[in-house]
Amino acid sequence: MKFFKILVVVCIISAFLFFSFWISETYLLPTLLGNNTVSTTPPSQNGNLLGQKAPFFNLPDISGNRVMLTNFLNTPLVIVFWSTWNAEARDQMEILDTYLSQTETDKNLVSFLAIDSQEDASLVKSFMSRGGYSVPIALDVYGDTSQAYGIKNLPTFYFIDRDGIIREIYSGILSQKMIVDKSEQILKQ
Amino acid sequence: MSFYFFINNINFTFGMVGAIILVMAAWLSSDAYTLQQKDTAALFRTIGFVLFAIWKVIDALNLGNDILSYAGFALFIIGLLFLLCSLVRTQQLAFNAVLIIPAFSLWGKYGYAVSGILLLIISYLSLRRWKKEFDRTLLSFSIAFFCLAVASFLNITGYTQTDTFAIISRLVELLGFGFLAFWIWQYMRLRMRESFVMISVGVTFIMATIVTLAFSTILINRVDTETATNLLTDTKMLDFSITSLEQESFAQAQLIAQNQDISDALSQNNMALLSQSAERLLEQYNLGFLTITDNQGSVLIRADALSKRGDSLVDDRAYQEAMLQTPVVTIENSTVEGFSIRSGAPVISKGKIIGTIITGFPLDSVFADRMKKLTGLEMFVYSGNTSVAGTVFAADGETRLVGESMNDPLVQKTVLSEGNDLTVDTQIYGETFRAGFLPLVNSDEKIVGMISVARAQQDIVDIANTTNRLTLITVLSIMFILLLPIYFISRRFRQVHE
Repeated sequence: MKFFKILVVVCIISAFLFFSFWISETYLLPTLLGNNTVSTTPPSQNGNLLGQKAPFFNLPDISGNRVMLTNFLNTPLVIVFWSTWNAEARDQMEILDTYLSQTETDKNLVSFLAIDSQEDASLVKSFMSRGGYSVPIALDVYGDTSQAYGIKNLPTFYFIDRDGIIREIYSGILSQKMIVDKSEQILKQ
Repeated sequence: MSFYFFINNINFTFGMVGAIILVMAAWLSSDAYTLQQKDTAALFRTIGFVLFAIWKVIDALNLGNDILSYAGFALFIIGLLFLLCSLVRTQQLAFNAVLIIPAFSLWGKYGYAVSGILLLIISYLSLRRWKKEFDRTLLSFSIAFFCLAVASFLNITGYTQTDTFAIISRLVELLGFGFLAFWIWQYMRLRMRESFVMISVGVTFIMATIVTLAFSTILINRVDTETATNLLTDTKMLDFSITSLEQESFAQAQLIAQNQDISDALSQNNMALLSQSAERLLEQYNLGFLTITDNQGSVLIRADALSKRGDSLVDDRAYQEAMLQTPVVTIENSTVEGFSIRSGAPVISKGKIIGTIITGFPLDSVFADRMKKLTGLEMFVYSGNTSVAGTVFAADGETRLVGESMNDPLVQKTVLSEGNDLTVDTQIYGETFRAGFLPLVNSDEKIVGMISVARAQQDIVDIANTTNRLTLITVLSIMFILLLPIYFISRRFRQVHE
């Protein structure tokens, strides 16, 4: 009977450990496996915007319609600043486009907007058409919005909650998984 | 049938054979538990073998689900602990067991190392008992677990199914299960009814495995052939798309060269008008790039990159042909646009060439993305034998896999040297792809690169694994329903006998 008791204890501990790791799969297992998918945000370019209201913008899209920050009231918003000349930003468009095409529009609780920095509409239109991308685009032709957001690197993401507060700034390319993770975080806020 | 798929099916077969033998061992132990007045050791052995068998089934089915793999491996370790308990009746067991608990948190080589140690301990303890109690039947049991331990240790170095160590590991594991089967047989041959039922169950599993393998082999051969055909069709469709872009580029260069605004701007050296017109035409004709040079080859404007101008295009083929008034479309490398479709046309005013128009489409990742959206397949563009564009991203989901040289001698010979199309299994960034290749030629009919449409071999194997799972479940269900009468008949025999 003694062995049986020991075995039961061993099994309970094992089960506890296993389920602990299972439940915390997102954090603990990737760490143990050395495959940490939880991103670390690099030092933000404009850290003082964190926790602040997102600067207002009123920009044209590639069809000439106006896109304003106020269009996204009460909806979490992800803004990505990009440019067609930047290779990483171009790859980011493909990643974002694949992600958005896999998510049904009505089930997408977070809005996405890609703001092209300081390029002409003709160039952006040609790029979008050549790649067959359908990411919502706004054109910051004169760079005023990019300046207001303190953009120094491309691509740069701003994760804005439903109250219009910037919750996270990420400079660099984001995988689909990271986009989902970060979007879920602003949904919870 | 590819080697990769062959190994995948061998793993499935060995795994299922192992599971069958373990289920038989569990059955035997449960019978011993009933017969020996609820002997705890027999109960532990039964649980141990059942958990071990569950792991083997999960492993054999290659579900590709991390959570299930963890659950299966945890059951495997717990099963080994139960087997250890059934063999040892001293305090030191608890010490060993507590020491190995952290292994649950690890995967891969650490997990296999721990399971190897546990299997080795079981082998050692059963050997000790064989010597102590003169129980000769335990010798095969000990050898079986020794083989399983060696297989587990070999798995530490085996990273993929086709790795040499992984293949040897599977063979040693099969040998181990053979010894375990022999150990079971030593008991079974003495007991008719159990043998009868056990053989029926064993045959059921074996038949299910054979049927599953037969189905998946037939299906995968079919999928393989169709994939090869489709890939070739897709590469030809891609070639057609490139030809269309070439024609489009050629026609648009001619049209833009005759545009009055461009002609006026060039003759008046009006850069503002030139820039404005170029941007408008880029958008209107949906071009990849639009470059305007003077008659000396100096770039006056690039509508797609306004800041890049002043450089000379005298060495550019499209420019040279435009100046000779023999417009041409070609595929060349350029310092600004990279590997691209290029077409040139002269701008003529008052019978004199005052400049040239160079239009085209870069064969870059944007082009590849578009093609992927049309075909649904991964594709690569090669300049020479180096990939300059592609749709495949690395495992991190951020890095696009381009820049690798295609060193497959068959591809180099057939596609780049002989100019023929080819469908072949090849390695791209360490992953096996079934890929169709087609050469890209310039205006001189010289091979300058190639395009490739590819499908990951893993996608095809995943189809086989899904088929294996569904077929196995179906066949097992049918066989067990058929087995029920046999079970009742054997029970009736025993009642009559008693």
